Amino acid sequence: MAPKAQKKPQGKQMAKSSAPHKPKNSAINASRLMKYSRARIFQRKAAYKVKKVKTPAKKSAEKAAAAAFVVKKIGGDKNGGERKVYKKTPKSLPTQVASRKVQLRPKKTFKKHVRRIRSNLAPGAVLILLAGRHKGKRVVLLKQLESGLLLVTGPRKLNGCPLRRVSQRYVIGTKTRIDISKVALPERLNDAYFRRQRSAKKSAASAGGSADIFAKSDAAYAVSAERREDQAAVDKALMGAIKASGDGPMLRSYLRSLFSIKSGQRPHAMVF
Amino acid sequence: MGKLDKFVQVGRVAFIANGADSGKVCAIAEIVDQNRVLIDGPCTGVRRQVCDMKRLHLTGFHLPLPHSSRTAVVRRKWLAANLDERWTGTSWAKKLEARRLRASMTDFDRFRCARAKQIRNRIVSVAMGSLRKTSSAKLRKPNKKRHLRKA
Repeated sequence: MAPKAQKKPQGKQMAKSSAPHKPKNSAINASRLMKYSRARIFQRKAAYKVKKVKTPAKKSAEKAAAAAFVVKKIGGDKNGGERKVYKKTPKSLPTQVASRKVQLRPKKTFKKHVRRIRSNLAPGAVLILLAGRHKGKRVVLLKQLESGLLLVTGPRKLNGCPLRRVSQRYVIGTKTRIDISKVALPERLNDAYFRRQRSAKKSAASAGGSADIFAKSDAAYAVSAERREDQAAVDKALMGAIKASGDGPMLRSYLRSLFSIKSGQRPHAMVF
Repeated sequence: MGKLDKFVQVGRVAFIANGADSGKVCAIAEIVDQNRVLIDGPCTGVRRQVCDMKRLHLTGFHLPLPHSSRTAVVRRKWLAANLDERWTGTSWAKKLEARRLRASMTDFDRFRCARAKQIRNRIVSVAMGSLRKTSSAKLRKPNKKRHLRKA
């Protein structure tokens, strides 16, 4: 019993510094309400033990006073050589100190949004593109990127559709599947890779406003060497996978053909 | 109107056209009144129930059932008459199956079907062309308009 008692306080100290503690408060039934009120949680956390650190308010006041005006040198003679340029007062001054609302469920930034994918879209599925310059083409889904967009490819050899990002919304997922478990996608294929490149001149113009706005933009889009490399690698692997799957020749001509609605066909009644 | 050879009678095998159990066949076990019958399809998964005649399409099959037969009796007679096989052998059932298959075709299936048709049609047209070449005069259809023009 004695040795146990000795060990315990040591253990607690260790736990404090290393392990992250469980939150003491929790929301009730996924609502805004919390189980413990602010006063109650103050007691539970023993926050009265925590020493308050006083923020040095004087320093900030001094800073504000110091920044009230800027001393600028002026030319000419017999005029003092300097002027105090005072800061303009803001257009509106708050009459009350803005209270900081505690956000129990703060707004999520776009990066943190949950990305969903339709249940019938899985890597290796054949998709029908419904919009864009490749509309009507049947392409192979490779994976879903971080942003939620789908990474597809024709393969380019079959229908001219390159490695490309595509939105789920503009796509019909068919039931046809190709086994792409053995297709190794290059690591660098991510959203940044496919991000549209703005020409340097244009970006400078938008920032400064002084660049020649009538200057011609950069030459038309040229495929980079790494794109060619990645396309060739993925195409080769994908063509192998198509060959290996049952009915390879039919699948090849299927991916080469374009989709269209024929007379008498009703998309809502069709199985894809 | 066609022949009045399918009667609403006890033992008549009927096809359920709509509602729950649509697409299944059953036997009429009893007649309730002008519009309703008691149906039972133990071998096809149709529970014994009263059904409106408007939902039923009568088939050409008839079981020798005594009226108000219970489900076990219906099952026995159904199996003895080998009705499942006889029903699926009818062109009616075959057409239904064909319709079901067509509706369940995926995009790839439709492509394969169209491609197969194309291949077959090409073979046919090539054969037709060669036949036409060898015996063109014999194969020509008598042109009625030609006769009129000459006269």
